[in-house]
This record gives sequence, C-alpha cells and structure tokens, in this order.
Amino acid sequence: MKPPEPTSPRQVYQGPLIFLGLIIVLPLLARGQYAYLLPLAQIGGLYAILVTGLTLLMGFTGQVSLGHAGFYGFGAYVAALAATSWGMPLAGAVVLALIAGALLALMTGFMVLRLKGNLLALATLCLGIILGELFNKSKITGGAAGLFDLPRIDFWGWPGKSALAKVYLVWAVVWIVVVLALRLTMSPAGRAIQAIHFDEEAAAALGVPVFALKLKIFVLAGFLAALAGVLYAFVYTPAYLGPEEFSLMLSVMLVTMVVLGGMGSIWGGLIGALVTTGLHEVITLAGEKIGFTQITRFEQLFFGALLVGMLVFCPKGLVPSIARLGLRRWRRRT
Amino acid sequence: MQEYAAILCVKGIMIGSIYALISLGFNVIYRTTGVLNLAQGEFVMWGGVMAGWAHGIMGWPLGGAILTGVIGTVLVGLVVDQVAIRPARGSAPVVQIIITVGISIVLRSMAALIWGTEPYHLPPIQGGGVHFLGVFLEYQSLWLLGVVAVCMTALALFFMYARLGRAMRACAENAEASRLCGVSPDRMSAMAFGLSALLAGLGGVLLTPILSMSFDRGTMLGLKGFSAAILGGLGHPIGGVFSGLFLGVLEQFSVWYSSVYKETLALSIVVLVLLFRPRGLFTR
Repeated sequence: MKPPEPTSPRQVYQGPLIFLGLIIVLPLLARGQYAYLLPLAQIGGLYAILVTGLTLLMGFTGQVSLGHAGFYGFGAYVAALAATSWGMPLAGAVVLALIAGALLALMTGFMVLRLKGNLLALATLCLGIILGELFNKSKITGGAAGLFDLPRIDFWGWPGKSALAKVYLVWAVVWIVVVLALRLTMSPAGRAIQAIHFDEEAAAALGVPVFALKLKIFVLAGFLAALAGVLYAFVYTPAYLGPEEFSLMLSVMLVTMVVLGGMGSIWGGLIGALVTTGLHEVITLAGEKIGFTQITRFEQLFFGALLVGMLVFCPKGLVPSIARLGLRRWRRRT
Repeated sequence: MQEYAAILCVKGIMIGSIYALISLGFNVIYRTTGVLNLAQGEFVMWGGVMAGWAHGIMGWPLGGAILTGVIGTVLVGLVVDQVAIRPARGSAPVVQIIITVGISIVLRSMAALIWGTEPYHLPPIQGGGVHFLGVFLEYQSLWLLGVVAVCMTALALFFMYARLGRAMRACAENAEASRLCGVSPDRMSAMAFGLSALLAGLGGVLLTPILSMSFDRGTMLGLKGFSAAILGGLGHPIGGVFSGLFLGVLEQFSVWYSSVYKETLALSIVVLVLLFRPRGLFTR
C-alpha cells in the first residue's frame, strides 16, 4: 500500500458536487416501466451507508467486521421497538436507536478490537450471528414473525408514500454520510487511521493513539449501521420489520461490496454497493424470466464465487482495476 | 430427573463427537497452512448429502454410499484447495478467512442446486443399540464415538511421529524454510485439505443416519466445530476434541433452560474465550 497522495482543493469539491447532481437527476429518469427501480435505489442507498462505514473500518483502518448486518439490525430493532412497544415518539426512537447503535459498537469494539487479524474476524462473525439469532428467536423482537405497524418518517407529509421522495430522503442521507466520510479520510485523523493499516507498530511509535482511533472508527461504523437500520425500519419497509434482512449472508455481501470497491476508497465502496444491488436485481429478474425457481440459491452461489474470485484473482478490487484500465487506454489515446 | 440428565449427557456426547471431528479437521488445516477454514461444516454436509443421495436416489448399497460420501468430500476438499486456497497463499490471514466464508456460501448453495433442499436419510451402519446405565445407546452413536477416538489417536501419532505429519507441521511454522528442506507447501496444503475433508466426510456419513442431512445444516455444524477448536486452543487438536464433547453436553443441558438460545450460548462462549483466554481452555 502506498501512502495517500495529497488532494487538490478542486478534487475535494468536484466529486461531491457531481454526486449530488446525479442524486437529483437519476431518480427522475426512473419513470413508467422503470418505476420498480425506485425501491431498489432505496435499499441500495442503505447499503451505501453501511458500506461507507465498513470501508472506513476495513479499507482505511484495516480492521474487519464480519458481523455488520448485526449492527444494522440492532439499529432497526431498537428504533422499531422504541416506536411501538415502548411508545416513544418517532424522533425519540430515531435518536435512541442511533445512540444505542454507537453504544453497542463502543462496548463490543472495546472488547474485540484488542484481537488481531483472524481472531477479530472470528469474534465479529460470532457477534453478528448472535445478534441475528436474537432477532430471529427472542420474544421481544417478535421472533420470525417480526414487528408490525411501525410509524413512518414524515416531515409534514413528505416523503409520504411516494417512492421517489423516499429515494431522495435516503440518498440525501447517503450524500451527507459520504461527504463527511471523505472529509474524515482527508483530515489528520484520517491519515492517522491509514497509518494504522499501513503499519500498526510504526504508527504507534509516531504517536498515533492506535486503539482509541480503531475504537472511534468502529463506533462510527456501528453508528452508520444503526442509521441505515433506522432508515430501513422507518422508510424502506412497508411498516413491517422482520429478521430475514439481517442474516450472515448480508454481512458477507457487505464485505463483498467493500472488496468490489477496492477496500480503501469511499467512492469505490459506493459503486460496489450499487453494482451488487444491481446484480441482485438482474439475477432475480433473469430468474423470473426463465422460470428458474432456485434463483436465490444461484444468486448466493454467484456472489460467493464472486467474493472468492475477487479476493483470489483481483484483491485490489474490481472498481479500481477497471478504472485503472480505462485510464491507461485513455492516456494511450491522447 | 436423573435419568433425564443421563440421556442428555449421552446425547450431548454423541453430538459433541461430531463437533470434535470437525474441530479436528479444522486443526489439521490450521496446523499446516495457518488458514482458518470456515467451510469445514459444509464439507460435513457434502459428505452426508452425497452418501444420502447415493443410497436413497441411486439405490447403491450402504457401503458404496458411504465410500461415495467420503471420497466425494475428499475431492471437494482438494478442489477447494486448488481453486481458492493455493492462489491466495500469500494474502493476509484475514483475506484468507473471508475467502473460506465465500467458499462455504458457494458449497452450500451448490449443494442446494445439485441435490435439492429436501433432507437426505441413511440407514444406520448397525441397527438397534444397547442399554447402558439405564440409557438406550444406539450402535450408530457408538460407531461415531469410536471413529472420533480412532481419528484423534491416529492424527496425534501422525503429526507427532510420521515424516509426512511433521513435514505438514513444518509448513505452518515456516513455509520458506520447509521449501528449502524439500517440503512443498503446496503439496502439504493439498494433503491437509484432503485429510481434513476426509474427517469431515466421515463425520457427515456417520451423522446422517442420526439427524438426517440437508444443504443448510453445514453452517451451524461448522460454527460449533470451530467453536470447539477455539475453546481447545487453535492448533491443539486434542483440546479441540474435548471441547467438542464439552460443547455438545453443555448445549444439551442448555435445552433444559431454553431450547431457543442453543447457538447463542455456544457462540457467546467462543467470544468470551477469544477475549479472555485466546489460547484456549485446555492449553497452559
């Protein structure tokens, strides 16, 4: 890994502005027969938030979480329970869920981040499965049946039931998250966490508070996961929350998205999330068209093989590799 | 009450011996290549499902079905090593772990696509059973226990004394140095995956008559097996075996309290052990 290049001010503003433009324009194109893409864009946005947190954790700090779906589900369930069983107002439920997500990450991170490499991966994997089991089997969470009659996030009638408005709501949050994440990676603290990835001992010797920084990023990733969970419970779902979404498979999918994006670039992770969500839809549609009933199995096979293939043959990530290839062609031509 | 406890104990040891077998396989790979193979449970599932398919659908005799299951699993292990583990030899341990997670997903969905989602059954090697201390013991469970005991002893001797076993251990210690001494890490890695898949296949074939086997059983079995390996201390096969038995019994007794949190309990113990005693319960 190379030490990061300094960024020019033009680059700093260019990306987010183009991104904002795309967010505003692209959903407008999804009309008529393409309207089914809008819910897809919503869930893609949620994954983008999750992946941004995970990219900061995996790509920049070099710490793995194989249980991220657990944190995502935790946020969703705390929000849903607060709003229904505990009778809190919506805003209170949202704030509580975000705080709870960060706190859970703080507690678990404080314990597991002492572990390195392999063992950290195992511990987070276990945590994710434990959380998934609790969502699935606990009486409090409604078990496999789930929770019903959740309130909707609503600013005086907006986004209401409009799928387009929901896309804007979700992607507005994505935009803020991405811009803040980019700022973070360019700040001194961001440089310090990359130093941890590069060489933990050297970073510590240069005065980087290694454990504290790792923990902060872990908490940030947990917070972002809870944020995505809140949006899942209060915006994306039709007022219902079940445990299927927060499986081990999703944790692996999220890691796949980060790996696709090249593990170390916020934009790459974003593209990884979108490509993966898109592929999911393409495979499902293709399965419906040819009447193949086992399509979910095939899809899992595909994504499992994609993950293995990427890590084995293209560990730098698909997005950066293609980008580099394109850049080389373009340079040759000019 | 006492009788109930005895039944739980026996059942726990029986399930635990499967965990022990899986943790053995886990340790074989870990001690040779340093890879934590989270796809170990899927090997067990493939063994059981292939044997069940050979017997139930193809109508082959039991012996042939068992052979099919075991040999098939060994082949799967070798293919996994060739395709996914060998090319990624140099990558970080964490990357390798994620690769094995990917492999387990591939193996699981592939099994569902090839053999369907219905559970497969096998008749026991030997029907009936004996009464022992007021508990009915199926012969099949005794077979299972016997196989685990034999495998454990054989492996311990193999890694201690056999030239090949020592060569395999040397690879985990220092791949470069062992290559200089004429031991090929690639070949040893293939050996480890084959051997470990053999153990898993045996486990699957012996477990199927007791619990039946379907494509989605492997993941949890694998997790329990690796829990046992962690509890016993990574790289300490004998500790892993005893932790497997312990985990099996513990799990059965937890059912007394509530059957819902069986998996949660096992995994919570793993997390606690990882945090407070990462070298395992049975090592000094």
